[in-house]
Amino acid sequence: MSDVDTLIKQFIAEHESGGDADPRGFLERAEAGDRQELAALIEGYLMRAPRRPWDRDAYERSNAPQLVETLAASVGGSSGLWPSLLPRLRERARLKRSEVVSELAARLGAERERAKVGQYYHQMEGGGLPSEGVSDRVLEALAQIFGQSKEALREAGRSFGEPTAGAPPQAAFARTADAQADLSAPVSEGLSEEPAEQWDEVDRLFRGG
Amino acid sequence: MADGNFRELTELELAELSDEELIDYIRAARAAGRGDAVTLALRVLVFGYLEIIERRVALKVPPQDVSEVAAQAMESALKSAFDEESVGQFRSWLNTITSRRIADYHRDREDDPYLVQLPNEHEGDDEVWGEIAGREYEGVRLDAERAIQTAYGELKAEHQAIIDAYVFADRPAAEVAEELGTSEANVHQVASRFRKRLRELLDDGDTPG
Repeated sequence: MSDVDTLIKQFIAEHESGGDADPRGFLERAEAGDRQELAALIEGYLMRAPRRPWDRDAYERSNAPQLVETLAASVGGSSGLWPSLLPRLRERARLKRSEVVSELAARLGAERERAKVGQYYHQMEGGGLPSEGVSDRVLEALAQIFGQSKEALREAGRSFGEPTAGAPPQAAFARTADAQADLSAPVSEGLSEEPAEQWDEVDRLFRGG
Repeated sequence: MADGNFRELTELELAELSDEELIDYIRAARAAGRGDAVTLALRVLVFGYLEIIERRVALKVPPQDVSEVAAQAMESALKSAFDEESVGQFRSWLNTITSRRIADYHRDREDDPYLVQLPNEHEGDDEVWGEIAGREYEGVRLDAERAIQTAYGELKAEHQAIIDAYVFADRPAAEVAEELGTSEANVHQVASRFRKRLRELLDDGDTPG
């Protein structure tokens, strides 16, 4: 049996037993000339590997809870993938939320309304702000801050499927990984519900489309 | 599952659902405004696949970026499923999206100075590595995936079944032979030819685009 045979068998066994199964570690153990073949076999296996059976303890130890948290906000909210994308872009740019808000307010010429801009940005990250209401100016400013295209931000903000029925449009479902989390605190808290004719410029930028 | 008569399932019941049934359930829970049920079902689905995706991504992306690329793949696949785009089987779509996010990663970083030049036997030989020459992590070419898909795709359906069971599910040749109504020697021969073809494709780098 070749090294590749042994290593792919070991990889499969380790993966299926819930072990570490680090593909890079297995590649390092292979002869240089065998690595591409082993990589192809590992990839072929992973593309067919069955869904991992549910295991609550293993779930808690995995990387899944963080992703589930943002996905739940995305699925339940009105802001598409912004709840996962915006914090990720912020992290990549090594900016604190407060720094993004200050920069955004400055780019929108709304320095005096920084707090309100911050509340709206918080809603975008929390999934509570209907993305179709957010103007191109806001997305353009964020695109410049994060080094992304405005179009990519717009596309990411497209809501999941149909609008939520039976739920307030600005209520995000679960903002924590705990399924029993308090769902009573929509991310729209603190913002006025004034009719459109009473909106100021910042309201129009974030809600007027 | 209509909005009005949504029935919440337990973790164990959710774990028994197929991918497509889970997605339907999440959609129904969302429509019924049941954020806790959405989160619980997302846990089962994300936990089931995130590690598999991470391991695929780890073959081709530097360790520090694996989580991000894997999360993007999961998010995109779920969003497509929700948008009712014609994604077919979720699993197959997830594979496709993962490949795309890996390709996006390398495309976006073509000029990224932080990507390390590979220490490998072909260093400096752009022809060997194709369009991402010298920019990919740890020597795993993006076309390793294409090679395995090509070698597999060239097989007759009954031979694919042998490869699935003997190579990718790592089951004993005798058991596979009995189940598929062939000889043990034939199982070995089919697997051997498959591996030989795979090596040819990897050596030549001539997998069809």
